[in-house]
Amino acid sequence: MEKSEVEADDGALIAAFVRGDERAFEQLYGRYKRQLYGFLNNLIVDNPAEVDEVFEETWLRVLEKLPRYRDEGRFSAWLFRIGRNIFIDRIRKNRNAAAAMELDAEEAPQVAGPMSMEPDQELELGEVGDVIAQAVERLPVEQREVFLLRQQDLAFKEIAEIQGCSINTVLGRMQYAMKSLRRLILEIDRGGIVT
Amino acid sequence: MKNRFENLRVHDVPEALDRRIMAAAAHKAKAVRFRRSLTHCVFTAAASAAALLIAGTVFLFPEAYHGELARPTKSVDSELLALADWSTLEQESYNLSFELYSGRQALAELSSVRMQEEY
Repeated sequence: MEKSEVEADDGALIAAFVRGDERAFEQLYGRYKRQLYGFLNNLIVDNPAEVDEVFEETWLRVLEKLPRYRDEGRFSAWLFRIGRNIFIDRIRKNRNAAAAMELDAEEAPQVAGPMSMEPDQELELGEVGDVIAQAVERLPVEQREVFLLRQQDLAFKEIAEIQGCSINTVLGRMQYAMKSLRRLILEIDRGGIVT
Repeated sequence: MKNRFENLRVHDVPEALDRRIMAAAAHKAKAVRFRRSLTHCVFTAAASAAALLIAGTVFLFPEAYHGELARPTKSVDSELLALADWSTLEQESYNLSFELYSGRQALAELSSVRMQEEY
């Protein structure tokens, strides 16, 4: 199905739900739930309970806001924006836990803070995919966001809207993320951890 | 073991989460349907009330009616009066008839008496 067809279909499902058809929501939910859960699972590192809470809160917020949804771009971009904002709000509320996490992506590429690093954990070597996933976990939050949202086929323009910054900033973060990932992957492969 | 890289894009959602979210959606959809039904009933009732009000205004209030209801004319009034007096006239007529009859009867009786006397 072409992207524009998907968007038109999403619009029809939303309109049906706003009229009271819960099966329309079920279809919409089924279409995006795994993507959102995957995104949050990789964004919120080593905290499955938090992932579940943010995931549930995101969909509850979607249910509340759907009657006012006005086809402003793709539904998936809107959905990820809500999920991301809920996550950021939670971080701000838990400043102590967030202090270890890097929120300023304009600095030189850094590895994510103690929350995602467990020096005594034996790293799993082998498949490239696993190594990349581990490296992604160690990215600063905003670089990680950009990288993960690109995995969801969101355009840089959409990511800029989600993060509330310019497209140049997003491109910069993606560039830093890719640089960091290359370095981290080499480090992980060699068996070391960058601090 | 599942490739963790695949989980960068998609990840299976626990069933308990699915159930809770779908329950919330069902509750919301039910509330929407109830609100729509209520709005529909309110509009229907308002439309019916408006229609009744218009109909009532047209038929119950004479001022709203362009034509005038028929009112008795003076000649009709006098005719009606005449009808009211007619019972008296009729009575008098009956009385006269009775008296006339009685007179004839009396005359007839007298005649018969006279005839008897002549005999």
